[in-house]
Amino acid sequence: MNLKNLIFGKRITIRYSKTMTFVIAFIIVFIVLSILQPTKFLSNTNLQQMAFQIPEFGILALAMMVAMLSGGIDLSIISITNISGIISAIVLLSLTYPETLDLSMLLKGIMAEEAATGSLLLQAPTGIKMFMIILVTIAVAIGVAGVCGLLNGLLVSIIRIPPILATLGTMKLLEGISLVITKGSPITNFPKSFLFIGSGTIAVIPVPMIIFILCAFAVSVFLKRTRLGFSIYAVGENPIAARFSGLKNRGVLIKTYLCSGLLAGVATILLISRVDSVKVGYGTAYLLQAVLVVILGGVSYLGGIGNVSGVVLGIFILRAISSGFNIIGFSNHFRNVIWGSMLVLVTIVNYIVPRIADLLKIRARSLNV
Amino acid sequence: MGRKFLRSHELYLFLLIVVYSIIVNSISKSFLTAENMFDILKSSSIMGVMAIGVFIVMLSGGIDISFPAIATVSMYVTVRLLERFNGNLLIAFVMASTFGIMFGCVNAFLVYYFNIPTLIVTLGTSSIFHGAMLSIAKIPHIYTVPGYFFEFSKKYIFSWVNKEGITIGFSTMTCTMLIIAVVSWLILRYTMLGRGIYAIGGNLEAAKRAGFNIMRIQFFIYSWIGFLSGIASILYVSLVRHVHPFNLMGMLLDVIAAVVLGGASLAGGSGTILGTFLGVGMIYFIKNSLIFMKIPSYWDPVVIGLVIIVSTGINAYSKTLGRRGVTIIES
Repeated sequence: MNLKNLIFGKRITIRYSKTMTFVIAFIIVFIVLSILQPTKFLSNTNLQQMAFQIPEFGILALAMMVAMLSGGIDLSIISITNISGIISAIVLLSLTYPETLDLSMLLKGIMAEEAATGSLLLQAPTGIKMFMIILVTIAVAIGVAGVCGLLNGLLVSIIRIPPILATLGTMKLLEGISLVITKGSPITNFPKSFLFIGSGTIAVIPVPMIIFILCAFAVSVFLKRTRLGFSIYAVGENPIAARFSGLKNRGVLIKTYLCSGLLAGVATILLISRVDSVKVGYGTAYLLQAVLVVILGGVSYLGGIGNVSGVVLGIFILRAISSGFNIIGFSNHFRNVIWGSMLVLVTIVNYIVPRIADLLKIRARSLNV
Repeated sequence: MGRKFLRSHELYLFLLIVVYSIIVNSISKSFLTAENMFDILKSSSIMGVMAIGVFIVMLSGGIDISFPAIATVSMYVTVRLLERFNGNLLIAFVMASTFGIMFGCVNAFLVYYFNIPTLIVTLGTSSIFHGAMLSIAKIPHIYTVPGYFFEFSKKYIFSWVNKEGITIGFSTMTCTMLIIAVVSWLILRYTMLGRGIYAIGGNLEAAKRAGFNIMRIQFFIYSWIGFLSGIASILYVSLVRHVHPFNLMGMLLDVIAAVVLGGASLAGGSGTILGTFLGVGMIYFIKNSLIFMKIPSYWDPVVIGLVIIVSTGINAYSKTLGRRGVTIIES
């Protein structure tokens, strides 16, 4: 009787929650892919590869999410990643090989051949000195990205350029500066100990994954538990109301884009230490995907709605699907078609579902009467 | 009229172009010559046609970033089809613009019926169109195009030969751009449709209450930019004589920079076609002068980025200053 009540009873109500939907969607995607391609999808290498690819993209998506929560958008995250990657790579190499490094040669892309002969690799410092160098590199990457984010913030809040145009402008500007520095050639051959950040593992868990989880946790706490985080939601939801309730909107917006830039800086370190090189144009494909995953994760493009858990689950879903496509053998271009259609479909669904729910509610009410 | 003209954005932009070209000319003497000027007019016509479309979208308060994809796809499909069948230039223009209108209608459908922000719609459709073309087409490059394409770009409405024996003239491409500009200007100025575009740019809800047919206006806006992308793509083929799947995609930011420089704002409802033209002219002057001043081309994006930031910055900041005395509400 009790059991019957439990299953069929009217007292049981299922609470609708977006997070639950994402968990279910992820499980479904995972199961479907595992059934379709059991040997390939569930293989150790594929899961490992996914675990290495998720973090850098995930952190970029978090950067996009912070900007979108405030009602704006940050199209410059990829350019920020590029420029901070290039500057920190130059700092890293010139600190590691202080005597032998010829900066002009490095920027002409000759570095790779030099290092292939082994003449440079021998002199990399070890121990505490290398550790300090890596710390400086990380600081430079995050610092440069922070400055770029600050620039975005100033343009959006003080000068009040619409976020799309401001970040479009900085995107082009930063891309140009990176091109001027490197002339389009890649910088490669970082010291081995630096690569540990992007491709090492602690036990079986990849280091970038740990960094990503820490970042996601930090952003989540920041958004939900701090004054500034709450203000970002408020400004995104209704700027005028936020202003009247005593928030300094300008300061909040500057800090929002600063956060977005800092997160892009963290993504930079993971990216350049995973692929062991940096070049203008790395990660351009991530821009569309970042917007897609943030919207997929339940963040409203109008600002003020959304949370980290949704976006993180969205990232996992997207990566699982992406690696599924990889296994099936879709081309990059066809994947773009699918991302584009998903972006459009998800926004359509987001538009339709609340309307249908409203309709049903109205009908139910009229039936009751 | 006089005072309004003296305060207009277009006048300042024109003066800026004049001052800038005098400065460049003092560095490199061959900049301000009839040859170079007509050359700029000719090569800027592709961007000019696209910029008019983008301007109209921005006037309505939206943004379209899918137009390079639309142009690339309609260019590819048209040239591929015309390779097989006999055709002429008119058929090419009609075909490309028809494809453009079709793609534009997809955008309009999504924008109107589902109320999705235009940036997100066009970001999505851009990668759908371009990605679909690249994944369906086995070879997305076409190196030999039918002859009538490049005969078009060689024709002049009127021309003369200078002392060094170089033909200088008013190209048919420039003429195409001017015709399109005049038609767009007439539509914007003298038809209900055009006034409706201004209206929904000013305030969508107010336009709806005033009885404008929003659906018709939105479909016109996005199919017009599709149409113009089709025209621009044929101009592009006739100028460069081959089809490349990525070249036009790189024009996106330059065109938006030109339109913004011309005085259009993303909030909608402001700007003129003349301003857009001067914006395109300014961008081409800058790019062209970099070559004359022997500055390497990788400085291009830096300059374009700065132009976008500075021009939108001045626009936005002057509005903020203007508002300051009026209201205390500040979002």
